[in-house]
Amino acid sequence: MSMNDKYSDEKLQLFIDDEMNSSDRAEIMGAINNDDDLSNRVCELIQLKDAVRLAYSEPPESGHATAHRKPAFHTRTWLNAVAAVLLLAVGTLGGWMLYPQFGASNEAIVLAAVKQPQKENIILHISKSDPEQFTAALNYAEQFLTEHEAQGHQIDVVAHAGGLNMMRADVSPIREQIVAMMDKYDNIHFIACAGAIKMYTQKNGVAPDIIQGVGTDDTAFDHIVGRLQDGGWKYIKVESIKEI
Amino acid sequence: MGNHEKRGSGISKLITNTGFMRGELEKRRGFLYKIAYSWCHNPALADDLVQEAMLKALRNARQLKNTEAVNGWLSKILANCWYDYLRRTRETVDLDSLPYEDETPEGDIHEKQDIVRRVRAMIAELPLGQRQVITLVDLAGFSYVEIADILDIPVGTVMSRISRARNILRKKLADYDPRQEIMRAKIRRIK
Repeated sequence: MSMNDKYSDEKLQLFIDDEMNSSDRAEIMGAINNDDDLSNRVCELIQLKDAVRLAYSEPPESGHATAHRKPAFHTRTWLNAVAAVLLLAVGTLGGWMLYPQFGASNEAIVLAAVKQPQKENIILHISKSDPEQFTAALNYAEQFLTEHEAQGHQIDVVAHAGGLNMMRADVSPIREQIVAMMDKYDNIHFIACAGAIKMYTQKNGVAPDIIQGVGTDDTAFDHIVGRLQDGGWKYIKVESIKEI
Repeated sequence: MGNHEKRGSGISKLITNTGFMRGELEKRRGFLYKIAYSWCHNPALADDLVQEAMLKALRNARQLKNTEAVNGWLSKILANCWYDYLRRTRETVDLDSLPYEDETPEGDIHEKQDIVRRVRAMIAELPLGQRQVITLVDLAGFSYVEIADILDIPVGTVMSRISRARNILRKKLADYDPRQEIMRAKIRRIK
């Protein structure tokens, strides 16, 4: 049996992936020096590994990864973002403990959440194509704006992935309500993720028909992080409203 | 230790972890995008998956126990976002049947780009599980144990998937290019 036959492909893979202990590794190194066939097999595996690395060394840009990227965080603004994240964690828990009696009713949950003292503007983030969540988001927004009209607090409803359907003029079950809310309030903004729009366009060959007045310039992530950096914004995932 | 002290310690840890996560997300966006793109071969979808993963990471920063393992933790979140996407689209789209989207501009094809394009197409044709392990080991440089944790599969499965993926790629590359020696030399020179 030649050295080449002694070493299986699986064993050589352990070698090139650096998964061997030092003694086994030394053994194979020695064998490679004395067996051209074995050396060729190892070279072929290494070249294959190189080919995979080369294939993705410069992946095509999505167009959003850099174009809409916010400047790097600064210490002060990041402290605000940390505060917002903290508020999210504490606020969610607080809501759960304060309003356990509303656990079975979505409407009651929404009301309960809105009736908590609100000291901040709100980012409502929706990522699923679920008409119940669309309605929950709108109910929350309406209640929030009614309760806090005097303070002039703002609310951003940000949709991405499946949530994009909420903002599509052709399929949204709440299109008229969205239009009505934009007409009625100056301090509500609907944002459809630019990345999700591009993905939809690539998949379908045509851009989605987004409701007029909905913002489409920013990605969901950049918008949300930008708001948190600005400070004074509280992030809420719409599905967590339902689950509370 | 009193409850207040415990709570204070927890919040301090959350601030520390969240602050740490901010820096890591800034640095790792390109890394995550590369992995996501190698799985789905769709730039917009890859960007969307990365955004979703980054948001989840930001919200769950306190769950990161070992800050030195942030790459693996982020990759695990990314993998879960990918699975969520597959579940959402399963009824309407067979992801493994999606055609590979060639982003190479027309008229701008030379040998390096041709190799890149063909290798991406070959990887895109691999079954999903094999595609994930081969990119995690070759692109991200994770160990088999780390990949097993990221994908929540046994180490033995990682090894067998890598082996099968490489056998397929090796055969396809050999079939593709009769001038394999030229290709190898080119890859070496580019490195």
